[in-house]
This record gives sequence, C-alpha cells and structure tokens, in this order.
Amino acid sequence: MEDELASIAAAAGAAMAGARAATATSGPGLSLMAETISMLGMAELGVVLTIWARAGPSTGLATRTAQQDLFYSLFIGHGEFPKIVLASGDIEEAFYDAIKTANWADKYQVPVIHLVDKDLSNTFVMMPLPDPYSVRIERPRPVVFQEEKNANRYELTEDGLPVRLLPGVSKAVYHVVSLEHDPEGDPDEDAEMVKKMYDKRMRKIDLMLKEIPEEDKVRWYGPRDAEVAIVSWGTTKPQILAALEELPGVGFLQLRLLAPFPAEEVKRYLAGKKTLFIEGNYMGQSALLVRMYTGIEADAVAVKYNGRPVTADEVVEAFKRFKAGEKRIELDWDL
Amino acid sequence: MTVVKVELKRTPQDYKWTKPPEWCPGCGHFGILQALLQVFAELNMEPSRTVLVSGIGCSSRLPHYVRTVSAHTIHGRAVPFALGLKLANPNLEVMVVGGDGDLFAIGGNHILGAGRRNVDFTVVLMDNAVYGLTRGQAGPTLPLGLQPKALNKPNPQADLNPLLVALASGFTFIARSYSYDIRYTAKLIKEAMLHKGSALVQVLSPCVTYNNIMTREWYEKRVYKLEEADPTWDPVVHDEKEDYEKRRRAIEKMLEIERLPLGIFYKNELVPTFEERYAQMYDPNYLKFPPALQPIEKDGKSVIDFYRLMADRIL
Ligand SMILES: Cc1ncc(C[n+]2csc(CCOP(=O)(O)OP(=O)(O)O)c2C)c(N)n1
Ligand SMILES: [Mg+2]
Repeated sequence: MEDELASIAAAAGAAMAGARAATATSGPGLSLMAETISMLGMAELGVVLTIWARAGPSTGLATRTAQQDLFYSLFIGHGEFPKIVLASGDIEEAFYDAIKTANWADKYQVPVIHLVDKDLSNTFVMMPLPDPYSVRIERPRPVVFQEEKNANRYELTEDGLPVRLLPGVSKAVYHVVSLEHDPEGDPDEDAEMVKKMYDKRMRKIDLMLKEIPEEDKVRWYGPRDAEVAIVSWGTTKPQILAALEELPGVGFLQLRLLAPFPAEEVKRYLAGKKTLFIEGNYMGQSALLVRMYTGIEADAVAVKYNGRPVTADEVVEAFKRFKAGEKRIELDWDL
Repeated sequence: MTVVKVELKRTPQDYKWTKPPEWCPGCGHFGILQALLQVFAELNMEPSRTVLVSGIGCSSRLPHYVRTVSAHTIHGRAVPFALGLKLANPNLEVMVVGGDGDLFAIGGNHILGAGRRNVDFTVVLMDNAVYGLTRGQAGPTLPLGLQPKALNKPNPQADLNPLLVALASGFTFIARSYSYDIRYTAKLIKEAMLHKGSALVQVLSPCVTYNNIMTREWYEKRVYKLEEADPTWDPVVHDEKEDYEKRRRAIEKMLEIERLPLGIFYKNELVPTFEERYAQMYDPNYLKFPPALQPIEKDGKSVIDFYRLMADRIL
C-alpha cells in the first residue's frame, strides 16, 4: 500500500471480509495508524499489528533498537476501547505469539499489538524447529443464515463479543460503523444506548483476562521463594536468563500481556519481594505501569536508551548496583 | 463485476434501509442515493454480497440509508478499506461513496494508489466543493477566488480536477454526472459498476446549505452531455493503439471549465485488474480461494505445510 494509513485501513477491510488480517510497522508508521486503531475498537474489527520498536523519538536511530514504545502501544488511539498488547521475549515466543495474537484478533474483534523490537526482529538464531501445530487455531465460526436477512452486528451480547458476520458468506445484511451506534450499526447518540454500547465493548476486557492463560500473561523463572525479582518485558529476556546463571537465588518475572494488564498475577508473583526493573527506555515504563495497576513501587529501575540492547553482563552489573543501593541505574554499554 | 442470476427481482424499495436519510431538504446527495437504489434494483444486486464503504461527511452517511452490507469508516480511509475488503474476497461487489473532502483532500493519496492497481471497484464522488458536514469550509474542488457563505475571505487555493487526477493515476473508467439528473446519474453509475477495473464517477451535487455559489442554477447553466454535443463521442479504448488518442481527447474535455461536460470521458478494459495480475503473477487459485474464503485450519490445526514452507531454513 502507499502508506501506513492505507496499510491498516486495508487490513481492517480484509478483517471485515473475513480474512485473518495483520500488518507490521515501527514507531513512525504506528503513528499514522493511530486513528484506525481507534476505529478497530469502535467498529469491532480484529487486526494484528506487529510493532518492531526502534529507537526514537521521531526518525531517531532508525536502524537501532529500543523499548521506548511500550506506553505508546498501550495508549495509542483516542477514546477508550479494549485492545491487546503482547510482548514476546525471544524468537521462539514470537513465533507462537504470532498465532495466538491472530486467534485473539479473530475472537475478540479488537486491535492486537504484537510488540517486539528491532533487536529481536533482526536477529538470526539457530533454534529447535518450532511446532506450529501445537497451537490450536481458534476462530469463531461465522453465522450463516438460510435466507438473506437484516442482522444486528452490534447486538448487546452478554460477553460483549459481536457476532461474526461475513459479507457474501453469511447472507446477512448489516452495517459496520465507526460512530457510536445502535445494534443495527447506525449512528445513535441516545444517552442510554451510548452507555450500553460502551459497556458492551468494555466487557471484552474482563473476558480476555479470564480466558487468556497465565503463561501468556506472565512467566516466572528462578526460585519461587527468591527475595529479589528482576522484572522486565520483551527482548531483554534471553540476556536476563543468561545473567540469572550468575545470580543464584534471584528470580525473574517476565511480563508478556501488557494490555489488558494482568494485575492479579503480577501482584501474586511480586508479593513480598524486592524488585529490580530492567528495560530499554529512559522512563522505566514497565515499572510505572506496574505501579499504576498494582500499587507496587519498584525498588530500583535499570534503564538503557543509547540505541543498544541490554546485555547479560549489564544485567549482572545492574544487580550489583541495585545491591549497593542505587535506585536509578543507567546502563550505557556500546556493543 | 459478475452478474449473478437470481430468481428474486428486487425493486429500488428493497434497497432502502430501516432508517430515512438525515440530509438537508433539497441536498444534492438525495439524487445520488435515489440513483443508487435504482441501479442496484436494475442489476438485482444481492444486498448481502454488495458492500458500500464510506469515510466521514454528509455524503459518507449514505450507506446508512441503503440495505446492503456497509462500512462507515473514518475520514479519508474508505478507499484503502474497500481495497482490503475487495482483495480479501473479490467475489464481493465493492463501492466507495464519499465527498470531495473525504476522497480528494484528506484521502487524496489513496486515489493515486488505487489507480495504479486497477482493482475492480467503483468510487462515487459526491462533489459539493465544500465540507458540508463541518459547516461549509472550502473543499478541494472549490475554484480559486470563490467565497461561499461559510468562508470569511475568498478561497486562496485553486481547485483540483478529480477526473484528471483519476486519469493520471490509472483509473480505467472515468465519468461525471449531475445529481439532480437522477436517470443520467443512475446510467453512469451502472456503467461504472459493470466496468471491469477501477471506476470513478464524479457526481456534481449541490450543497443547498453552504455552497450558495455553485447552486442548482449555477450548474444547470454549465452542464452538457458529451454524447449529445458530439454524437460520435466514443470514450472506449477498443484497441491498445487507440489509448493515447482516447486519453488525449478525454483530457481536452476534462479541461473544460466554462462549461462542464457530463458523461463517460474514458473507458479501458484492456488493462488487467489487480485481481488478474495477482492470480497470474502470484497465485493461480487466488480468485477461487481468496484470503477470506480459504480454510486456515482443520480441527484447530493449521492447514499450512510449515515444513515445506521452511524447507530452505531447516538444517
Ligand atoms: C481526521 C479528521 N479530520 C477532520 C474531520 C472532520 N470532518 C468531518 S467530515 C469533514 C469534511 C467532509 O467533507 P466532504 O467529504 O466533502 O463531505 P460532505 O459533508 O461535503 O458531503 C471533516 C473535515 C474528521 N472527521 N476526521
Ligand atoms: Mg463535500
């Protein structure tokens, strides 16, 4: 397509037609996609966006890596609507997550951001052959009528999910719309209807948190009774796992599902532990996010924002500085 | 498009949705709606297989008054949304409707992209030269120096010509109509739908509330029909060798501004559609099993032969 405005719009159209729809970009392109992401939320169309985060702001370091776009991925889109953000920790995870995110886009009919970064997407690895057949492909069957019939795409369903109607397949005549609407899919600003529709869409958040399995929300590595937990997300995972070999007794909580946020699970794993957050941005975004949703205050945050990934040696260094009492640890190794 | 024979014969009434239009009385857009209902009935379009796609604007509300599948999307993105829909399932009849602002200002870039592809779909431009919905600001087709009532100074920008833009970007059917002439508008939209490839019909559609200059009287003094002025007028490219000459003549007519020609300016079905190119260059089964109709799983298992796909990467 000619630009990212078009790419995501075309993916949205393909989703409406009934295809599995996905597109990929990095920060600048994601900016152009913002308005349509909000439309996917309102019109209830499922599209997967794979974001290869690079170092910004703006054109920034266009061929280098960063984890600066966590907040942007979480909060992109005007208005409020359910959205999924899943961060993969390594290439094998990314492989399976690609299938899972597509399942979720089909099922929940929401925008799904699969968040990886330049580091991960440009890495070549030798790895055991993954088995795509081990992940079930799940997509709701389309409703098909015997005879042509007007249908309500936005029925006020209990679980919040819209019925899956496909043009030309369902024999249904129905309207899809970006404005607030009635069940038929036509603009409606009636105060009572607005609230009902809003609630219906937002109910999908509870459903996702209920249905998405724990291993897709968070993963714990190391002894469960560790006193200190390193907390991180995305492609710092392999380096942290390598560092753990030199840090016996330390645990690692990998955050995977970032929206909707699995506050219960995170609270459960971090209860009573000291926390060291490590990530590739200036603000310590995941530490702020965890505080926002759980009230847990980070004991220390190690950050890196020079366009280079966090290395295993830096994880060890961060841990030592944390032990020495530093609260904000700036990592700056070149590679 | 493919005309599907069905027993049932529908009337324009059968294509009316459950709710009536909410446009200003006398709005030119009513004529376009009426013309569409007529064409759909004449072609006996299946409402569940016909998809209207629009952006945002008074014009973009049209799908809500029509009994077909539709998507009322966001400002400027109707064309790429429609292309995604059509390419995911080329069996659908896909039509974009929208205003001059939607299709040629905020969404103009997508017209350029669409022409290069020549996907088999139709764009109906409901042109009132203003942003009707947002209270009458200058649209991209408002001529230089005009000052319709919502502008506090005359328009300092020149107008663009949607027909020339469509020709330059590769649309293979280009026509212009006038909305109060419902029969003629229906005739041209029908031709556009029957055309194989990307079609643009510009319908001059007076905004009775905000465009107090380009009114019904203003248009009716200017419009004339190409085939009435010149009975030998033939816009169809019958042979590739004619293409240059047909384009040259179309451009000449498109450039007229004192009087505004209506009719078909250019039609060329010799250019392969994107769907044909895709089937030929990438996937011979594309038209039979397009992405939206392909099975992707059996009992939850992917039908993709992953190991064959990855053969050159497996050690
Ligand atoms: C991104 C964005 N910018 C601006 C608007 C506000 N807006 C709504 S309709 C419109 C112009 C509509 O004009 P046109 O497409 O010519 O349709 P008409 O109402 O004249 O039929 C604008 C600017 C919007 N909805 N979205
Ligand atoms: Mg307009």
